[in-house]
Amino acid sequence: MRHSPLRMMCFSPLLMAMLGATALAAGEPVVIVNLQSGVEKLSRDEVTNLFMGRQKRLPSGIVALPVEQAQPVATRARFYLLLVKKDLPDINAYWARLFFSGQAQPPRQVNSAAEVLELVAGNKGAIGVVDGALVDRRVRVVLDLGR
Amino acid sequence: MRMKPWAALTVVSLTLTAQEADSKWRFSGFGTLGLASNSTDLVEYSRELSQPRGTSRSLNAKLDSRLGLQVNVDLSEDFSFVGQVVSKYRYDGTFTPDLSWAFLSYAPTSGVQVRAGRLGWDVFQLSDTRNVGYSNLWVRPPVDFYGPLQVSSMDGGDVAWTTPFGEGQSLRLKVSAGQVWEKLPTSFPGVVQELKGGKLLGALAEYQGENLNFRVAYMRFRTAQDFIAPVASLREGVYAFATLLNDPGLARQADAMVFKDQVFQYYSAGLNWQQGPLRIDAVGARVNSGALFSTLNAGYASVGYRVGAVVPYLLASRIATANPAPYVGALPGLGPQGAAVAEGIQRFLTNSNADQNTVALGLRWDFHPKAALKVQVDRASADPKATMLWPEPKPAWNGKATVSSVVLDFVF
Repeated sequence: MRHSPLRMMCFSPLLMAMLGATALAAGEPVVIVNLQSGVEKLSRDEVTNLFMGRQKRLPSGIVALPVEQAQPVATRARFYLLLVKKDLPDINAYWARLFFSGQAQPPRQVNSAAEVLELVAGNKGAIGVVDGALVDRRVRVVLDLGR
Repeated sequence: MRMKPWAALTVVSLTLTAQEADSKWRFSGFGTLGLASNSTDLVEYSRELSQPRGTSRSLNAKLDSRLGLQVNVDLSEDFSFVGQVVSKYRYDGTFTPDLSWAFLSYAPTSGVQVRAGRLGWDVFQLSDTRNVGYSNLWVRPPVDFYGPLQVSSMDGGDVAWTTPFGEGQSLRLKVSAGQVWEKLPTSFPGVVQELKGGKLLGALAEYQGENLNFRVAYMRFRTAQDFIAPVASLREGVYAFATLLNDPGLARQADAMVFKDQVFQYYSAGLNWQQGPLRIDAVGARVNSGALFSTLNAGYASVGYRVGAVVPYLLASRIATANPAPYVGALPGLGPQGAAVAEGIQRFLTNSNADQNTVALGLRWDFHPKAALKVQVDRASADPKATMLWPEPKPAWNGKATVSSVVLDFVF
């Protein structure tokens, strides 16, 4: 479900207003952080390192709390395809190896975008991924994965 | 005393069920339910040296089945604890759980992790996750490669340093040191070789690219215990015959039959390449074993191709002895006693020889987000006299074995 930004503007001026200056394509996943995280922008590599357990802190030094939306499965699958071009079974096996050898803990799983927003809004180190159209003022967008 | 790890974890879990909402604690686990069958009754097929018996023709669930429970505790921003117990078929023939991991982790900066306590020994690519079937593509890590490992974890510490660089790449360096706590079964029924107190030391470097993982490692293991009594008395027997026969060669052989302070050195290099549906593994290693045991070269290569939730794969592995321990003949003119000692020496020496290759064809099916079903057929061809990895070989065995396996791997 891809919508052009233009069409978005026509149909939901209110939503676009809520997004403020950040112009986003709805339906595209964006990476969000807490307003107090001390992070303004993240590169795709930085996000990859945080979500794949290779780096444990945000660039600002705060301990990162990666959060992922586990349901629906297709949303999670799309995120990892976009981020690291890997299928979910490969991601799951990867995490089983890292987790059960005590190297790192996989991202916290929640079941809806609303929960991702809530966790990110409420935790300084939290970093999550949601549909760009759902972003609100409580969080900051640091990377547009759809681009 | 044996139930200690279980008991400890149970107490911990019971006390903490009430605090489930507290995200500082996390309970999880992994397991494998497996069945395997060998094509011959002339030899048994085992997965690793810690298994006293293997699989013959009748269906065997002990080979691959195992269960692990893990607790993770976040103590503060920098400190955390991980404890893990694993129940699997072990040296004494039981499924008594062992504490496989129990360490404090300190992560002062983004890329540094210091761990102290009981830690997995990651001498080779997958050696510290050998029990986590779900994390591996195959039914079991290649026996020709991981089978000869005497040790799986250690009491000590390690320091790992990870640094990202360039586009999507990172480098991880790690040093580790510790002491062995494990035991091994021997070819003498009921007699266990103690490994406790052996010293481990090692370093590894791992490159992680977008698709490529490349790892080189060096590890060293110095033994601290002497041989079990039957081998020690065999040594005395050899001394006696060496004196009787005035044979300096035999005397040297007896001198060499000391297990204490043997140094094993493990060199390895390997890669894992994953691009789209394709995944390739290739790993090679050399184990230098000092004077007493054989020096071994081993390696494996695997290709898998994902089709939806299913990955068919091909796996080939090989282990060869670079300087085989000699095959001694009978001790002439010494009657049945001499023959018995000669046979004992022979059995002892050939047990440190390994010369075999295996081709396996299999399929992994991720039918559930937390479970996978795998089937695999292994065709092994061995030198029937090099029996390190083969319990209970009969003289008539021709060195061939076909092993069929099915496993259900899960995490929770």
